[in-house]
Amino acid sequence: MRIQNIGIFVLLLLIVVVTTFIQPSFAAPANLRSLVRDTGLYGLISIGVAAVIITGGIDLSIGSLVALSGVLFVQIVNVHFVETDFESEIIETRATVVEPFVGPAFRLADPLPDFSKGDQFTFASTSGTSSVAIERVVTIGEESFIELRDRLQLLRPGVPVRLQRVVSMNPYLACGLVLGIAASIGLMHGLLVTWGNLQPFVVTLCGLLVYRGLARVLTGDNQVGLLGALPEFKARFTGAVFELPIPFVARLGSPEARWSEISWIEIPFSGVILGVVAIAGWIFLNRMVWGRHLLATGENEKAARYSGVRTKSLIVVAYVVCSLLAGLTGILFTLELNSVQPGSSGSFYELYAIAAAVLGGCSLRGGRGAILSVIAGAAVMRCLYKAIIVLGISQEWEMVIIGVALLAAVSFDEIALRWTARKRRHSIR
Amino acid sequence: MSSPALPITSSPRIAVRGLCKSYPGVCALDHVDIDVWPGEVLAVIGENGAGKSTLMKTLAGNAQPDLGQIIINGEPAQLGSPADAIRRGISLIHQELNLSNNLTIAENMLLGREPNRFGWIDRAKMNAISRAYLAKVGLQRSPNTPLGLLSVAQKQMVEIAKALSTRATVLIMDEPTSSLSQQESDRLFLLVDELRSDGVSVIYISHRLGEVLRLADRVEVLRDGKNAGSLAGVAITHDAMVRMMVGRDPRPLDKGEHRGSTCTRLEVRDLVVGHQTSVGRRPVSLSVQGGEITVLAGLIGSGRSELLETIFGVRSSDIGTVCVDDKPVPRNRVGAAIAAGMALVTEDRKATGLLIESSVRSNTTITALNHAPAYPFIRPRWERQQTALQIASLDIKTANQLTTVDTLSGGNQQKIAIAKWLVNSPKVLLLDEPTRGVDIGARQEIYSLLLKLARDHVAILAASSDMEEVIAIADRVLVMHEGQIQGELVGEQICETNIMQLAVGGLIETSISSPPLNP
Repeated sequence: MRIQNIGIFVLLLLIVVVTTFIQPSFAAPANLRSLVRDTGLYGLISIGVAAVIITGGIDLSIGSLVALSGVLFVQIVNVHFVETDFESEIIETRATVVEPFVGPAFRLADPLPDFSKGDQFTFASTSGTSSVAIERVVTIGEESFIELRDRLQLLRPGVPVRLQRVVSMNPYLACGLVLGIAASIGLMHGLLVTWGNLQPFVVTLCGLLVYRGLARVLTGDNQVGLLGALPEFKARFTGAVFELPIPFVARLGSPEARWSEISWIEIPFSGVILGVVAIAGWIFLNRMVWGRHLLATGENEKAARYSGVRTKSLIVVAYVVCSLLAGLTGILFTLELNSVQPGSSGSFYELYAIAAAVLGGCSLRGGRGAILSVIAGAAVMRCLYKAIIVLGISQEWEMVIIGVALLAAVSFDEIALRWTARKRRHSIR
Repeated sequence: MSSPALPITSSPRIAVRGLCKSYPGVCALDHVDIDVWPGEVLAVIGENGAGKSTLMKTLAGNAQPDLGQIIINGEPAQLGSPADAIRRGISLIHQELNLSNNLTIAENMLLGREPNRFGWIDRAKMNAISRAYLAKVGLQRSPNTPLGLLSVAQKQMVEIAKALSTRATVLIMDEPTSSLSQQESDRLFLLVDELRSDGVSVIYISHRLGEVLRLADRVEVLRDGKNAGSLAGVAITHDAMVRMMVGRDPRPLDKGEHRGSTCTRLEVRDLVVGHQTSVGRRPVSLSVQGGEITVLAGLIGSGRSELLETIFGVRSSDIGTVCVDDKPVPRNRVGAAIAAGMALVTEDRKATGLLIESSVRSNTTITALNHAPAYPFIRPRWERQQTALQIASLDIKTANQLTTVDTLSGGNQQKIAIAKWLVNSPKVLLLDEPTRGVDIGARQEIYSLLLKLARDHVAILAASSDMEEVIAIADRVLVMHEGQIQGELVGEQICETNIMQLAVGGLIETSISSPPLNP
């Protein structure tokens, strides 16, 4: 690892320590979990754009592609409800919560047929027809009680209800399709840049406009979401994959805890996939021929070509990887937030990603970059963002602080570089 | 040698006293003294890294000395910037021309000093001024011509005219002929003669000792940042200069007995050079045997680099075949050429030969990675061993394997540019100007290396503009003219006169007018 990249890890540590010192709740497990999750999401697009930056290119379309993939995912999954013949009415309502129930429970006149999570009842209400999703059925003795997802919804006895089944496409298939579309978009960028000989800035700037626009056109500029469907799929890709024991943070987070206490931090899926992508990226860049060739292409495309490197193919691959990771991040964000706002979801994400890559030591001239420092760069950005919230600084300051911190970090790198160069010179004399 | 037209005054125009300058890792100048008299051509020579460039940068205000004095016309001067130097009459004609191709000749010449009326550029006056100086340097082009349309030689004339227009009394020319043809160089020499008789002092830096012999009134030799001696008048001889530069007597290259085996390793048949409109698209055929060093000679622009690049496949071409050891090589794919055992050491190390900001190690192994054990993974130990092997066998001077290539001297850079191909043990080695910008010591080492490779039955095809080099290393010379092989010279026929005769499109009696390719 290059010496100058150590700066970013020091900066990360500094932000964490200082913020925790001022506001111990920064080290609370829930906060750390969400930090890992966000670093995972932003880290993925940062690694993607780092691949492109290493070739000497740039990808400005990431944010728009995140929104477009979210929209596409929602639309391909296409959650909707189908009427069934089942009609019944409520005959008993238990408003007070008693074990084993966690909310109000209802009993129907007729036995409920097989259902899946997300199926819903429709019923007449003051505002026309309303619907409420079924959460689970608990059988006590002979009687089956139904719990609803919306625990505030109290249906009185005598209310007629009708069962609607939730229907959606297989979400894995939808993921595959969206990732395929994202990869083709990257392929198009790569081909336009290499064989089309267009400038990356221009190609992806057009992408930024087109994909954002498409996301709005496809949705009529309305928010779209998963309507509470696919709970298991969501849980798998947003929930904790495993728990990581971390010492000391319990004590840091609250003075009552002992130093010896170990906190278990849930690592969500986005954190795990970032880990996987990071390891693969590290191996690719540091231990594989193609990674070396990618760096060579970025430093001097012509010299690389004269050395037998297939520069154009490598550049295309970099754009494909970048768009693919943006597509994946778009899906993960949609699952995390349940909905996509086509006009604003993912705005500025390309700039956050580029900032993280630059913080991580990538040179915009190409030829230089390291995966771990890029992740640290993404973590710095997210920690700053969280610190602003935790320290109670008003949100308007967010961009100012992140911008100034970025500038400071990059200047620090430059100063450190000159300082070591001068030191070397003096030691020689 | 014409003598200065003006009487030599009692004080030098520039007197440099005890100049010192250090860079990280090197002491570039170590108490250097130099005098420049009015109306003389002072050649400053030395191996790469001897301190010539640093000395010139200091005189041109581009670098500040750590110690020592520069006395101009008897007064100590601080040259804080190029503007300071120009104000005092010192102009540097850059090796890489410092002009903008998008501006016209006049705009370039008067950049930053445009004659103006209330901020509006006075074009008529500007053109008049430039025309006067263009006439002085003998360039017959309109001042309104966009600079991009000029040849390198003409651009150089513009630079000189620009310097004269600042009333320069000292012109520093840094390798001015490195990209000029023979005729263009001759024209430049005449201009230098003229400047001298006008009383201008010219500091002339060149690796080409023939030019120094032709031009210099005095020669100042630098070695390892120190004054290594000076020569004047009749004392300026080739051998004397080489002895002072190297610090020992020049060793003639021992070509050894004829190594050419009977097997043809490289065979090029009816190859049409790609992307070449100006020189026409007539096919070229040639062959090189294992163990033979064949040199492509010719003038700048005769199509030697283009031919090498087409053979190698980096320049695409649809017509013709290239065979290595009788097996045809797939066209237009560098990867396939490398797999077939070909290698191309390019003309321009910085642009196409090396990854200048990367380490010695990654430069050395880059072409071999595709055929390395453990592919597609890189085994660090293999990489270290291969690099160590090349560093040792080519005697590359580097602190360690992770040193970036841009910190090495030209000679060591060139060795790495060659070493990166030797890892593959090539069958056919193509070289374009194998010793451009390389000092004499390293040059000899590269020649010995080529001879050693030839003894190992590598077929070597090298393009060279350096006549001494051609004569020193060639077993056979193919002279190119306008994209065609004009003639072939073997053994005793290889001499400067014959090469020049063919290079300008003539024929020689001893050569057969349409040379057989496999005599």
